[in-house]
Amino acid sequence: MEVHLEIDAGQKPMIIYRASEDGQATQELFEDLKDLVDRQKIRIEQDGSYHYLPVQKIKRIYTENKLVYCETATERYRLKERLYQLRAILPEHRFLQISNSEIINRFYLKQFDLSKTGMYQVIFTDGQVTYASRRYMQAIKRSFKL
Amino acid sequence: MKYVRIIRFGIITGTFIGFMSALFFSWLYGANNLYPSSPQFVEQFSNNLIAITVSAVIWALMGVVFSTAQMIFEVESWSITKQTVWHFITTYTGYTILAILAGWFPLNFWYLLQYTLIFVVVYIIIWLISMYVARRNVAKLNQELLK
Repeated sequence: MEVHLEIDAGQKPMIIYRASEDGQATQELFEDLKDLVDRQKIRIEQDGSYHYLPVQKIKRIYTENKLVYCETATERYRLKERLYQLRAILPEHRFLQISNSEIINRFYLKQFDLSKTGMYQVIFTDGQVTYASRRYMQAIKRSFKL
Repeated sequence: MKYVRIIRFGIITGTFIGFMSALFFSWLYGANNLYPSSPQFVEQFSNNLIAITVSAVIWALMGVVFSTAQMIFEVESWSITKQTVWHFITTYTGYTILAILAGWFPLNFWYLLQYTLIFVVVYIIIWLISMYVARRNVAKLNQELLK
């Protein structure tokens, strides 16, 4: 199998795996490729030094007072990138944009709820609650193949 | 600019609907001319052309009230209830004042009360439908998550 790298400034990062048939070997390699993308790391600057965080460790990324933060199960970091830039890098099978200001990791998502006044609530596996926007509902449903 | 587009849309739509209504009612009442509103409204002005011009401005403003109110539904951090209530307040206040100025409503307590009740009922229906759709979305998504 050939492996190519193409650099194009206008291109959204993407891996396409072309196979001639859909068998077990194809599916296995496809799953491996997804895992590989999940192990992709983003650079974090903290107290003047850098370290790299695998994206699968991220629970949520959100904007607060125009600053972008990412939260893992235990830590919170400031990020330099804008939300739309991160969205382009993050694996789509794992991350879901739920409002203008937040992207969440689906693997940390427990369930959705609706408040009495009609706010979409997103409940994480650890019990944390955040809000989804009505305007993103169509996209969220699409990502669940609904 | 987004706001320019929204306001322009309101002006065009409002003027169009106002003109079409005036045309319709002028035919309906067998007039031989285009009357923008009731005879009492037109009598306030020295001629019909001025009455039409003033009406056109009011129609455009009505359109702007509805087109800009639409932005309330874009405020992401507001709940369905808050969005619906604010949309109601904006359109009810704006539209009622303009409709009275345009001579569309008789200044009669019972008429205005009936109109207000219809307005409120329409918004309650909108709220009920929005809440129903949202609850169904949540149920569908949770069903997928449990799979």
